[in-house]
Amino acid sequence: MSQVVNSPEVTPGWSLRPAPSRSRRAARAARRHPVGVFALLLVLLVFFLAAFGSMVVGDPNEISMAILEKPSTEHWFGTDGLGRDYFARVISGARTSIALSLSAMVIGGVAALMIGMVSAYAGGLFDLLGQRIIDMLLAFPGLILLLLVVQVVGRGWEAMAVGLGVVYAVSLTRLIRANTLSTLANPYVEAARVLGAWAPRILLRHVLPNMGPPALIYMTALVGGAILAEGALSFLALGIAPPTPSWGRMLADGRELWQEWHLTVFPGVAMTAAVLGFNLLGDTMRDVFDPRMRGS
Amino acid sequence: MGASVRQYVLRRLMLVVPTVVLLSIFVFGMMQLVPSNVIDERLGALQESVTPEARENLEAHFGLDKPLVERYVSWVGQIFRGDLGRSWLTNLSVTSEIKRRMPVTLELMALTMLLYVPVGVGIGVVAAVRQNKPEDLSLRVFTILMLAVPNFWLFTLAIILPLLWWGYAPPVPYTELWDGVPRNLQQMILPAAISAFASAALLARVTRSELLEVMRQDYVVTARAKGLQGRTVILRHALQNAMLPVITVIGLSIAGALAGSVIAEQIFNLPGMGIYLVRSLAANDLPVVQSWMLLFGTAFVLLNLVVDLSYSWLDPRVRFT
Repeated sequence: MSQVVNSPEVTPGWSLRPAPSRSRRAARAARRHPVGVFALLLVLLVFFLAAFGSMVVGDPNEISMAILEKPSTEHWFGTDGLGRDYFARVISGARTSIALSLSAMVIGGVAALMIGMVSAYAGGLFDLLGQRIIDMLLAFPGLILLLLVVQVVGRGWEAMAVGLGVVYAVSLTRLIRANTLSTLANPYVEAARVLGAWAPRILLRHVLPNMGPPALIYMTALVGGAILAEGALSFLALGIAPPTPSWGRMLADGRELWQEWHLTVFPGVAMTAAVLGFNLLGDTMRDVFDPRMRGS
Repeated sequence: MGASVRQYVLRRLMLVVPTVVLLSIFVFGMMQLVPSNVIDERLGALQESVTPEARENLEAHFGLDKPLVERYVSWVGQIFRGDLGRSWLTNLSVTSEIKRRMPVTLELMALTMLLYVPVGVGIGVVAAVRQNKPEDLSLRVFTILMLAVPNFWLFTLAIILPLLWWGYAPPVPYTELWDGVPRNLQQMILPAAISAFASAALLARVTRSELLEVMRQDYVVTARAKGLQGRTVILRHALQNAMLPVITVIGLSIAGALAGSVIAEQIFNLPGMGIYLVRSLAANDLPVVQSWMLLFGTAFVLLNLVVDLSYSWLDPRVRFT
């Protein structure tokens, strides 16, 4: 009986059962999305290593006489050409990747929210021109656009964050604009307008709260791409300058010393694991919050 | 119906012109924002010893004293005469350099796409037909993994592992296709194959989900009920109608293949457009960067146009407003 009552076809929007507690709901969601749980753990691990990794593994830039040693109990991942402990460097690479991806997410997210919401609200020529520019930028593959922006902003940490932020913003603005347009069509927005609310109030109080979930899902899915793009730039020696540990740069240096397999294997595995975690988490979030996209 | 499609195609074609103009302004503007110019780059460390008057003379010589709009117009005029300027680094003509390098990149991209489409669509079809069977699950794990693996790591491994295991390396130096096909293919096939497999993951994903969606439709059930063979149903009825989003992904992945070739050329040392861009970026050789971005930016815009137009050609149900 309860089976029938709880099926969505029979009860649109209400149920005879009391609403399950938050922890029980979480447990149920975890059982239904084992991959999501795995992804979440992976992402949390990456975050933990990014935040506290250098405390545990020590200074990644400390050089020693033990040059190019193979993995051992003393140096788990061996050492590199300057005798630096490779385990410490791979772990610290997480900090570079995560710090850059998150700052890019903030920069890109704020920029996309401002451009997208204002563009949709203002309409007219501003909207038309803005959309044309976004169209044009969308035609570029992310990596190429990133290379162009970084060339203008300069090399280094801030430039990378801004460059990745621009790529984020370009792919996010459309979504924000479309969501704003559909939110603005709601009666409560019209009511606010009739009451004399000015534009910033409408956008901040009535539109912004509706932007959160879709934007967050979309951005989580993009973090993996940001990690890959940062790695590619550093790999091409156009990104983060040494000696800051960066997975991409370590892979580029490992290519020169190709006889030492450990220099190439470990940063690659670390990077794949991090990207995998964010990709799977993004997929799961989309499954949970946006059932229309399920199974794709 | 026919008239509305024609109208749509016409409008879409006309929209390309302002987009390309916008693109040229964007690329030109970006280059002006770089805090360095031809004089700084040419002089290098000598800058300190140049008097202000000499510097002014140099600026007049390179036309840097003219207003921005005038410089933009003269740049566009040059492009229409087929002149993309000279490299700040080597003083070589950018046009002739591009003519020399373009075939390498185009060959790499063509080979990549040639392998990419059958691999991606094939994996997607097999996964959809054998939904939730071991084949499907292992192919899904493969695609999810491929979406996470950095392509520059795969390229690096493809160089290093054969070296370590068998002492094999692709022949150097680079040989043009018309100077020796087998030698050229030996150099090209590895980067092309890896690019293809790495990017096929997304294509396989889309093909699978689209095909599953279509296979639920009534007419596919009807075709099965008529007693048609499974293969005929999939290939003639389902796949054709699942192709629309797949074509989009293929079209957009051409741009992605270019981004991939930038990295592949660097690792496999192929003298194409990608390695040209990376070297010019590192040396702040802006005329090259500017020409590169305009050239491929225009190509991306046209590519998007072709993808959009293919909709009206492939699916008459699509309505245009």
